[in-house]
Amino acid sequence: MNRLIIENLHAGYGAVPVLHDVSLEVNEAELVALLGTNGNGKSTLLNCIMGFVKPTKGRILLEWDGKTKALTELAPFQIVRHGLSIVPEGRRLVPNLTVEDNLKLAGSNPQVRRRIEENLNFCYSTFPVLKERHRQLAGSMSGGQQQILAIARCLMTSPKIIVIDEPSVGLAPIIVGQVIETIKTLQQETNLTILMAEQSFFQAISVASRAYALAHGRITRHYENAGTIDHDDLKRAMLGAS
Amino acid sequence: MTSSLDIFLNAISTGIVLGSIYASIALGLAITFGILHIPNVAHPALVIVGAYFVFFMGQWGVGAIAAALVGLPVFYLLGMALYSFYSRTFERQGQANVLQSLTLFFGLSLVIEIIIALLFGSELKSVDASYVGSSLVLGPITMPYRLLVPALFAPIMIGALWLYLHRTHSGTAIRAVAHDDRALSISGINPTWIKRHAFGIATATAVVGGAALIIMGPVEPFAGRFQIGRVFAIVVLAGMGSIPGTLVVAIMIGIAESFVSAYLTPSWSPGVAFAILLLALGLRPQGLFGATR
Repeated sequence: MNRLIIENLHAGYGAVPVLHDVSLEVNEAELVALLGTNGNGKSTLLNCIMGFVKPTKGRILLEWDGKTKALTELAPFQIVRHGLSIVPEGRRLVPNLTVEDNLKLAGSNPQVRRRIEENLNFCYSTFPVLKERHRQLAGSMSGGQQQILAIARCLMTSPKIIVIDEPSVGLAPIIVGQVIETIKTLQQETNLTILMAEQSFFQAISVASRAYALAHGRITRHYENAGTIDHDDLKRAMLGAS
Repeated sequence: MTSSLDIFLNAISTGIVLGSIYASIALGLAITFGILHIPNVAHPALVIVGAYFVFFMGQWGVGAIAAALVGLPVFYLLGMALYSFYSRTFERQGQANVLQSLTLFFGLSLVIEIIIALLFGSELKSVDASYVGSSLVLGPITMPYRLLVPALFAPIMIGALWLYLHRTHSGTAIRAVAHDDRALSISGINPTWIKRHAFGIATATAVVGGAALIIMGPVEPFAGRFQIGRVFAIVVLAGMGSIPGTLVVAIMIGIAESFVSAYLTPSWSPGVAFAILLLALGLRPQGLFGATR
C-alpha cells in the first residue's frame, strides 16, 4: 500500500506565507487532481513534497509496505530514491542530452540502477515515439513529445507515487488533451498512484478519481468523486469561496 | 642554412605542441568554469602544485609520467576537498556569487604560491629525463622531446575524458549538471556529489598539466600567473564546456603565438591569446565550439 499523506502543511518564501494548513492524501492506484489557478500555491505545495521548498510547519509522509517515512527531512534526490517522483512544471529535461541519456540519467540512480534496462524497455514500449527518437536531443523535440519524455523519465526511477505539475502548460490545446489521456491510460494500465496539479480543470477532472481545490493557499474543497463535480461549485471554490 | 620554409614549418610544429601543452593546463578550467560555472582562477596555481609534486617525486627517483599517474588520485581527493569547502562557504546560501567565488579562488591562488615559495624557495625547479635535451628531427623540422612528450598528455586526457563523459552514467550526469542541477535531483542523483566529483577530476588534470609544464622547462612558484589569462582565453574561445574544442583552440593559440615569436618578436606572444579572443568573440559570442543558448 503506497500512500502520500500531507498533514497541516504551512509554507512560504521568507516572510511571505503561501500555504496555510494544507492537508490531503493520495491513496494507492488513485489519480488525484489538485486544482487551482496560477498563484494559489499549487507549485509551492508540489515543491514542498519534492523537498525543493522546506515547509515551516506540518508533515509530509510516504507510506509503503507498512513503513512510513517523513519526507520533510530529506533532500530532493533522496525523496526520488524513496519512490516519489515528479514530472515538473516546464519539464526540466536536459536539452543538450539525447532522449536516451535523459532517461538513463534518471534510471542510473543507485536505488534503481539494476533495473535500468527493464525500465528503459518499459518506457520504450509504452511510448514508441521515444524509441524512434532515442538519439535525438531532448531540446529539439516538440512540447508534447518533451512532456512524454518527462513522464517517461519519471518512470525510470521506479516510482511508488508520481507527482505531475501542470502537464498542460505551454502546450497547444489539442496536445493537452493527448497528454492528459496518456497520463490516464498509463495510470489505468499500471495502477500507478498519481497526484496531478492542473489549471485546466475540466480536462483534469475528466480523468481523475478525486480532486482537491486549492485557493489562496488553502484547500477549499475536497471532491470524493471527480466525475460528479458541479462546475459552478468548482468555479466558486477556485475563487476562494467556502 | 635555414630557409624561410623551414622557419614556417618549425613555427607551425612548435605551435601545435605548445598549444597541446596549453590544453593540458586549460582542461581543468574547461571543466570547472566551462561545465560547473565556477571561475577557478586558482587552477594554474594548482598546476604549479602539480609540477612541484612531480619534481619531488623525481627526487625520489620516480619519472615525471609515473609521478603524474600517482598524483591523479591524490589531486582528485584534493579537488573534492576544495569543492566541499567552496560549496559549504558559498553554494549552500543559494546561488554562488561569481565575484565572491572569483575572490575566493584568487586568494587561494596567492596562498598556494606563497606557501610553495616559503617551503621550497623561489628558485627554478626542473626534472631530468633521458629524453630531455634531445630532439626529434623530421626533415626540416626539429622538435625537442621536452616539448613533444608533454604535448601528448592533452590528447590522451581529452580522449579519456570525452569517453568518460559520453559513455558512463556519472559522465552523463556531469554533462547534465552543466545545464540544470534540478534535473539531476529529479533523476534521484545528488547534484552536489556530481559537482564535487567533477571538480575532483578537474583538479586531477592539474598534476598532469604540472608534469607537462615541468618537463617543458623549469618551474618557479609564481609560474602559474602567466597562464591564467591564456587558459581563460582558451576556455572562453572554445565555447564554455566544449572539451575537444579546448584542444583545437589551444593549438590555434599555440600556432598564432609561435608565428608572432618567429616573425615579429617573442615579447608580443602573451598578448596573442587575447587578441584572438576579442576578434573571435565579436564574430561568434558563444565561442567557436560552444552551442548557442
